Amino acid sequence: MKQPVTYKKILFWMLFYFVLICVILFFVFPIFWIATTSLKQRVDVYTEKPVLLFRATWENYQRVFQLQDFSRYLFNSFIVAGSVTLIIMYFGALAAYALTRWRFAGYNWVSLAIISARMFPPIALLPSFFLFASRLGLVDTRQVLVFAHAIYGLPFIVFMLAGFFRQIPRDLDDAALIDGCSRWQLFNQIMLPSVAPGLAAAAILSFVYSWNEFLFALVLTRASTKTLPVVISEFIGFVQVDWQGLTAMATILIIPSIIITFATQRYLVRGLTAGAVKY
Amino acid sequence: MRFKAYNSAPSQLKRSSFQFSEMTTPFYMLAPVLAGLAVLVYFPLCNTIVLSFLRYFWNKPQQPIRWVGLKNYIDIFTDSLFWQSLSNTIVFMVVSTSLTLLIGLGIAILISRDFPGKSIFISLILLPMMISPVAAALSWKFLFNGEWGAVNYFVGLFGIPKQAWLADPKLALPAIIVTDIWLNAPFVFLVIYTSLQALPQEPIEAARIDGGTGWQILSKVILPLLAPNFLLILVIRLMDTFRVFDFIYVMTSGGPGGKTETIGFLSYERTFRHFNMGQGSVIAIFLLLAVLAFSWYFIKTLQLQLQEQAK
Repeated sequence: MKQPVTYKKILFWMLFYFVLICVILFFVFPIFWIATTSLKQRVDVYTEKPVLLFRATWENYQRVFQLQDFSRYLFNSFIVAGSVTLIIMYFGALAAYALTRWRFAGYNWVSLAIISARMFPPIALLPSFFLFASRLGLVDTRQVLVFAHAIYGLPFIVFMLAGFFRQIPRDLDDAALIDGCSRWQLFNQIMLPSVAPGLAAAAILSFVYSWNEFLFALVLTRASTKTLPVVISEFIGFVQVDWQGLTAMATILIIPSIIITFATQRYLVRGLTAGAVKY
Repeated sequence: MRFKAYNSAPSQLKRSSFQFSEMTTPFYMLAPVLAGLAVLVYFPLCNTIVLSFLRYFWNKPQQPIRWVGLKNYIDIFTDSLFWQSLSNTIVFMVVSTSLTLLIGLGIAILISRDFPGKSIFISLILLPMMISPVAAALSWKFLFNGEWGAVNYFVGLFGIPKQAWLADPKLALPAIIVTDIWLNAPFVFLVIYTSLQALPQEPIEAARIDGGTGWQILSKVILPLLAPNFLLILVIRLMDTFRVFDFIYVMTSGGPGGKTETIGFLSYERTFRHFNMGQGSVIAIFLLLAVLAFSWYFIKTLQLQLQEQAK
């Protein structure tokens, strides 16, 4: 039965799309603005009326890459986030598997220790964390930042992956064990491939977490091991703020996140909601 | 070989060694995570408690480290900047969390109907979700600029005069709240939207057949069904907003006049700018306890609510 088109209906849809467009504008405009500003010449940036049509230029990016060590910081960001991702994926999966397959003595304490670590604010650890790192001469090494990010990102991933392991029937474990697999073979060769979607979500979330993380990186890195967020924050501190350079850097920082969000929406929805909502 | 072993009765030795490894394997599997947590999280946490009783300036190694008892606690709790930052943090937490949840819920309900362009709309709205807080803060600092920021242009369209948003004592905190909403509402939206999709349809249909209006169905059927997920996301947002740091550091550094000073930022300042480990640790512990207190409280409330619904 087709309903007649009424003025009320037309008005409703007009209002509906108007609200939608406002919502999109709010969420997309800042990204659009940063990305376009990074392509603008100086004249087009500092204007009262936003300039939408302009002659694009790469000179801001060229300038940023000529800055001392910028490519090194970019490399730092990649290497730290990459190592963190590998560590979190493997050890997080191990812990998640153990937590879903055994009910051992002290189970509640172990799970409590892992859950509550998700809730501790990093700043509560940082005074002593920094002191230890500096006593051991580890400040300004990539390793200490990798450890900090990995251990801080792990609890969330453990609970997310536990949700994926729970869906795999125990019969699979039993069958493999009867066939003579050891638990470790079973885990490495059968379990890991079966939770591949979960691992993909874990990898994405860990990578993005480490890539974006600011506070640990700010405290634990110095001149040679800085990651991009720290570099950007220091760049703002200058008296004469170079906004074109800054927006270019911010665009470089944002690009991986946006690609990941677009390319992996399906995984993300599943991963994030499994971790955030089911716990 | 394997078949043989399988067919013959397992020897006593073999069975016991199998059981032994079954008992120890989970501990080996959990060992890396637990050891990491012990060394890198729980030990520093305990040590922070010790630090809070010491007079310790880490930029002055020649000065002896002294046990001063509760002096750091007294200094902090009589410091007016601490109370101001506590009130700023609470305002930020309450306003930002409630607006983020309302906006997330509003958008999720708005687009729960089908319309052309829906999937593109969802993709666009999720764009900010994974962006670094530093990049978000930078973008909004750029937009909020008092001389040529785009925000001034947009409010100018409604006849509002130019504002120096981040330098104005009244407007700086709201500007940071906007930034927080921008960054976090997409995630809240996503969680609420996916839980809406997963809701059982029968109660909603039943309410519709019984003649419930749209608003009644929403408030009496859908929202109670969403409550468990809603509460969890509420806890997550409260925890994350109470420890806000990145936005403050990048956008205002606590200014103007301490109007955007927050607990997390104050702790950082005392520890790493004033080099005062003792006071920094006191604030860090306060932050930790506060975050734990309301996350526990809400987890318990959630459990109680579920039990009551089950009765």
